[in-house]
Amino acid sequence: MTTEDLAAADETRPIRPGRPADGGLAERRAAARAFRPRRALPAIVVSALLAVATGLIAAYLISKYVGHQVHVLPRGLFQAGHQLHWDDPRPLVASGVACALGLLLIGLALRPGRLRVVPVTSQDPYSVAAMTRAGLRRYLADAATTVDGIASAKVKVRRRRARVYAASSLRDIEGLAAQIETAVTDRLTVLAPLQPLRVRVSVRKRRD
Amino acid sequence: MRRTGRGNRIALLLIGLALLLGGAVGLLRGLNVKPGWLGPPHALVIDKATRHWVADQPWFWPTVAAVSVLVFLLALWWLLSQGQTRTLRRVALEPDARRGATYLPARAVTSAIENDLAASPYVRHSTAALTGTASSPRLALSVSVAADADPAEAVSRIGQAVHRFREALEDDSLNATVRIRTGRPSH
Repeated sequence: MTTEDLAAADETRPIRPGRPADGGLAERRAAARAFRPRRALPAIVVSALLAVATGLIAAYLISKYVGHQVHVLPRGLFQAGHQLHWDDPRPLVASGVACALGLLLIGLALRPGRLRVVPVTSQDPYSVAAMTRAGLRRYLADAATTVDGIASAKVKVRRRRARVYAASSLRDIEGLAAQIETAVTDRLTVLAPLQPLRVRVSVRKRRD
Repeated sequence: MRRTGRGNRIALLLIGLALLLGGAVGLLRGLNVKPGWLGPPHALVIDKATRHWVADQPWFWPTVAAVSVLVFLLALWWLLSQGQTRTLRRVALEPDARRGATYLPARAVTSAIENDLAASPYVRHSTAALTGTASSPRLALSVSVAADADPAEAVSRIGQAVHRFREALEDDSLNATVRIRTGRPSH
């Protein structure tokens, strides 16, 4: 079990059963809260860089007072400040990069983040359940290959759509798409993702 | 640390705002947008007056050193908190403290549900852990189902296991978070 899995159970508010009239809104919200990404990767990168930068500055300054100066900071950094003007290219580029990075971090902090799993109906008011995206793709591709004449199938799962790419070895592929759609939709109905997925199918002839 | 997700977002937002503000001041000055405000663009980034002012303040460099040590420790703590999640060692079976306390090791409880799920033909492997507090635990369950299994069947099978788990702990509203993975087809 990963920390992400544990965090999903630990970090959210207690799950409260919604009223039947809200059309599954409470369930969708609880699942979104539980499975939303934690921004762990940007946090690790930013905190590590910040620790390195401030650690070097602290080591440089403190070593100066102790008496053994360690030169851990690039010497050019200080000279640049004394020689460059505000309208020189390097300060301008540095400012621009700082602006862009700042906007990127603000975006990462404010945007809700894409779920890495697909929440499904848990049949229980105090549970949230989700299936990994890869697992759902395999499950739906398997459904498509149950149709006679379908040799292989690939599925892409987006937020509101499941796209099925099937390959058939039959000469006449008319009507296969509709059969696949029924097979895949049937499975989705049983699994009941909280965000309903529309199924679109394309079938091509397999080149032998 | 609980609520790492929220903490991460707040910290990223604050650092992003600081970078944006600093970068914007540099750009505005360098491009001569508000010369009355920020000063002339063709001036040294660190001019003579600033250098003399810094040299005259005996507290300046010690303060910078202290602040960087503080930020260093905060950043380190932030980094280390990414890998931490509290799992419970034990759970309380008697929620009313006046009637005495009975504790059960969490490992015993989580193996019970893992074994329950292992009995199902659909489930290949499962891991359970308890989080939350000893008096109101929460269940984190990660279940790997066989590739040819029907995930809908697996979901309902997991639901039954969670139900039995609640009965054993006498907690009808115990929260559970379930992740379902599928293995690659074996054939």
